[in-house]
Parts: sequence; C-alpha cells; structure tokens
Amino acid sequence: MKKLITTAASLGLLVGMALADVASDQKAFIKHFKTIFPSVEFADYTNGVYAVDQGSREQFEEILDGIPPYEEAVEKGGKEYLKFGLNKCNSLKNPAAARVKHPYFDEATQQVVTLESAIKKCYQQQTGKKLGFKKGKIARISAWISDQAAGQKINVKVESVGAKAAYEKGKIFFYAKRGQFNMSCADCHVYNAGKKVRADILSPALGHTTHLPMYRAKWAGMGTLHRRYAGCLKNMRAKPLKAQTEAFRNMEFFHQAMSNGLEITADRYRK
Amino acid sequence: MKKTISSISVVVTLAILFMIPTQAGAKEMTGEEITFGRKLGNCLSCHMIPGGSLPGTVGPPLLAMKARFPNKADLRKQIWDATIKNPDSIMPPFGKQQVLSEKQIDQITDFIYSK
Amino acid sequence: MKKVLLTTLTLFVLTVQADSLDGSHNWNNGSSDSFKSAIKAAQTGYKANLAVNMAWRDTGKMIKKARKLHKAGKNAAAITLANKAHKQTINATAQTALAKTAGPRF
Repeated sequence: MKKLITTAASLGLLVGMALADVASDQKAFIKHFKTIFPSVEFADYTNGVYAVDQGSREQFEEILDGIPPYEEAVEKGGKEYLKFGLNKCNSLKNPAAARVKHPYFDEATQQVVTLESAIKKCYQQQTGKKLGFKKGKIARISAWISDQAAGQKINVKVESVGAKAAYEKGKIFFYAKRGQFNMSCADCHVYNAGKKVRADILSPALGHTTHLPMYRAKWAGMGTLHRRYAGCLKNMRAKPLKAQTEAFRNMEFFHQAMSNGLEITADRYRK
Repeated sequence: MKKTISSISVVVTLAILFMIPTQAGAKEMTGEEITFGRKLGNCLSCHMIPGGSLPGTVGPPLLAMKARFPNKADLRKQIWDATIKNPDSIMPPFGKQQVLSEKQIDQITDFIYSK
Repeated sequence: MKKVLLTTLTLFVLTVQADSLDGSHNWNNGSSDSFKSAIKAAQTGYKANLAVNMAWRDTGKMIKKARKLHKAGKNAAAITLANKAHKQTINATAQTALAKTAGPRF
C-alpha cells in the first residue's frame, strides 16, 4: 500500500513537472523582456513595438491622432456583426465577454477555440455560408468584437490536462526552428526583439495579441493573427499552415497566455 | 575569292555572336551583388557592411574580418552553417540548407573578407 | 566551291552551337528510372514533413517542377531538381527531430 502511494505520488510529481505551468513560464518570459528593455513598463507592452522604440511611437501616435486607417473597417465590422445575426449566438452575444473568454480549451472537443473560429462557426449557423479566416469580413468583425473589450485584460486559462497539453504543443511550435532559414518565432520576437531587420524593428512577443486583428500598412488592410502567422512562416521559408488549423490554434493559446494581464487595445495599427 | 573570304568572316562573326550567350550564360553576378541582393545573401538585413545602406542590427557589423577570422575558411564555414558553432544562431545555414550555391558562398566569403 | 564551303561552315557552326547547348543544359541525360526513385524519395520526405507541420516553403513547388521537366524529356534537370527537393526534406526532418525539445533558453 505504501509502495502504491509512493508510486502514485511520484507519478503525480512527474506529470506536474512535464505539464506546463503558465504562471512560471510567463514570469520567465517577462523577466527576459525586462532584461533587454529595462525601462519599459509591463503595461506598455500592450503597445507592442511602439513600447520599445520612441521614433516609431511618435509616428504611431500621429496616425492615431488623425483618422486611423482601420476605423472605417472596424465600424463596418460592428454593422456586420448585427447584420449577420452574430449577436444571436451564445458564444458571441456579449462581445466584450467573448473577446476575454477566447481562446479557451474546450473539454468536449479537446480543442482550443479561438475567437475567430467561434465567429466562423456562428456566421455559418446564421447565414449558412462559409467565412474566410485571414482578412476582410472576419478581421473586421473580430476587430469590432475586440474593441468592445478594450481596456480589459487578457486572461487565458490553462487548467486541465488537455489544456496544458495543447499549450505545451503551442509553446514548442513557437520555439522550434523551421523552414529553409532555420528560424523560430522566438528567434526574432523574443531573443532579438527591438533589433532592426533592415529598417524594420522586431516587435516583442509580449503584448503581440493585444491589438489583433490589426490594420497593417504592408497589407493595406486588416488581417487576423493567423494571417500574420502564415506570413511569418513564409518569411522563414517554411510552408505556411492554414489559418485556424490545430497547430496555429495551439500556438495562439500559448502566445495569448504569455500576454495575460495586459490590456486589450483598440489601437490596431501596425507598419 | 575575296567574296568567299568576306562570306566566311560573316558566318564566323555570326557564329561568335551566337556562341556568346551559351558560353557566358547570364551576366555573372559580383560578390557584392550576391551579398547585398535581397533574394540572395541579403546579409544587410541583419549586418552592417561598409558600402551597404539600411543595415539591420541583429548580427554583428561585418568589419575587420581578417582580424576576426585569421583563417578565411572559418569565415566560409560560418556562412555555410552558423549552427555548427552555435546551434541557437538565428543566421540561416546558407550552405547546409542550400539557400545559396557553393560558388555564391565563395563569392560572399571573398567580398566580406575584404571588409 | 564557294557554296559548298559556306554550307559546310554553317553546318559546322550549327553543330558546335548545338553541342555547347547540350553540354550546358544536360538535356536527355539520365534514365527515367533514376528520376522515378529521386522523385519518390522527395515526395515521401515531403509528405512526412507536411504531416508534422515542418515542411519547407518551396519543396512542393520543386517536386511539381521536376515532374514537368521530366515530362518535357529534360531528364537530367528533372533529376537534379528532385534530388534538391529530397535534400530539403532531409534537412526538414532533422529540424523535426530538434523541434521535439524546443523551448525557451531562459
């Protein structure tokens, strides 16, 4: 009997060690950024790259002071939210709550549910039509929903065994080198954040998910987080995955959890 | 006879003109062009290199290379696969992963080594 | 005489020309069988990379292009490209092995 208890206890310890502990992961993550940007306050990471570069921050603020190029799109997203009856779905009827709740781990399907996958599902239920995942309508609607939660904090919960496994897979995806260029997401956005690639400044991964979907000057339009993921993979010369595939949803789960405690913002302009 | 000679020379000239493209192939690129080219070495995206504009700051400036690499072959090796020295390096393994040809790597090595 | 000389010379030049073209392009060299094994190796590797989300951006395009070259009878070029694609899948497989233990360095 004693043996059994010892075995059970050590097994439990093993599982505990093998499974992710988000809080300690995030602590180390934040500490790393504190080391490379000693003067940047945690809350300022909501502003992404603008938190770490004064010059681009001034340009950013000028754009926000005028008529930001995403404003019309976000407004349209709000109209589309009502027009397509997305307020009739349980998952989205309270838009601010929906933004804060997602991404979450669904125990029934053992899958990470992202805000955009919920929008797509609801859109299909209401209209019988399919919705793209990367830009256009879904980006507008998702941006409008996220705007309703502006000022609230990201709060991703990773609790169950299944959730931890998904988080762990996403974390590995984020740190693994891939593609012909042999790069990982972390190579640029963790270890080299703030440095320049040609004239572009690499944004810190801490705070990445606070302002998505975003209007990106390079796209001349709105795009979702997964659109950006696919673009990054292409830059590493890896084959981009489809938006909202399991691997991307798992990575979003990890990526968003690293920004827990940061405010969601409506300032969704990036270069 | 004179006419024959002139005809022959016309044919020969034509032939030479024809041969040029197959002999030389496309215009040979210089080491500098391969080093700076965005779709080739694109070394400036991360390194400052004298003579190049808008350099990145991810990697160290490429200066005094002869002092840093007394053995030129070590520099070539670094470009060919930077992960041998440091498995965590962000630098693409240009040779190992066939981003560039062996000849292009030679040319880049020569160009960088002159800096 | 003049005509004969000219014709001979022209023929000679054209032959040299064709030879040099052949030499630089390696047309119609290599057997169909070695293409088949090269493309099969590339395809198998690529499928395995895709299954674990570790495929490279251009491998699929290279395989397609190699098949096209083979169809057009440019066997040597097709084999070279298929081998290159195969090499990509070998490197991607090596990355897959390393990816299993990927994590933060802090």
